[in-house]
Amino acid sequence: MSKKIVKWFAPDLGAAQRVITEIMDQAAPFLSAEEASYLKLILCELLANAVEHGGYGTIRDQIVVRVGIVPEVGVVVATGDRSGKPGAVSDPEETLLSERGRGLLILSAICESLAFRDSTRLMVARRRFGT
Amino acid sequence: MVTIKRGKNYLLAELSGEVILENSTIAKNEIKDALLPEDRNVIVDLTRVTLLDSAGVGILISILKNLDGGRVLVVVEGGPVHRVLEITRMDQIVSIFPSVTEAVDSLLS
Repeated sequence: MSKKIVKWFAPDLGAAQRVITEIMDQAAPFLSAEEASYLKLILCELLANAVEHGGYGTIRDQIVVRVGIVPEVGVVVATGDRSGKPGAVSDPEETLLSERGRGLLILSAICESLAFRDSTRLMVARRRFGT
Repeated sequence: MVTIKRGKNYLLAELSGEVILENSTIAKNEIKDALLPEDRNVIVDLTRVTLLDSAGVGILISILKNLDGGRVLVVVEGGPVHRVLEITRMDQIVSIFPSVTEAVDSLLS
């Protein structure tokens, strides 16, 4: 049986960190320790990307994050629904000394797919367990 | 989260727990505050870090930029933290060691 979690948070990193803790409390029983770490890393990168690049105007704006866990298969994490376009995946050769821009690079490496749906302004990361 | 120690020719920053999001900013500022103009070598011990995100990786770049030509030596075991360093190719711009002792020894040779 799959597990679904939906949360909203204001567009700042402190709120993102708090909502990640809430999500992990609910998700942990469905995940191995290793996969829990990867889910938390995905949440950190996706939520930080939404906060920093989502184009949210005021603290009253809300970012929605949806998590789906299918035991023994994988996880899907989506942020939206007002986020702007994320930056392109960084070229590490060009950004080696940049303090920013590595989030999507990490997501691309640990997720099976990473999609941005322009029409609905959703960002979706899928990870297959054990990869 | 950050413990700062000083050796003969290096500063040692021991990080622990989850170095993510806002925690990273706090850790970065603590290390920058501890750096002296004459510092040239900083050892960052990540062996007790359980999770490192891209903001945490930014700490290493920040230190490197503040060193003015110095070295950043990172101590890390295997696992997800090491994998994040590999993904972001930090191993190309910092030196990675399996223990603080080996990092210190490399400064003597």
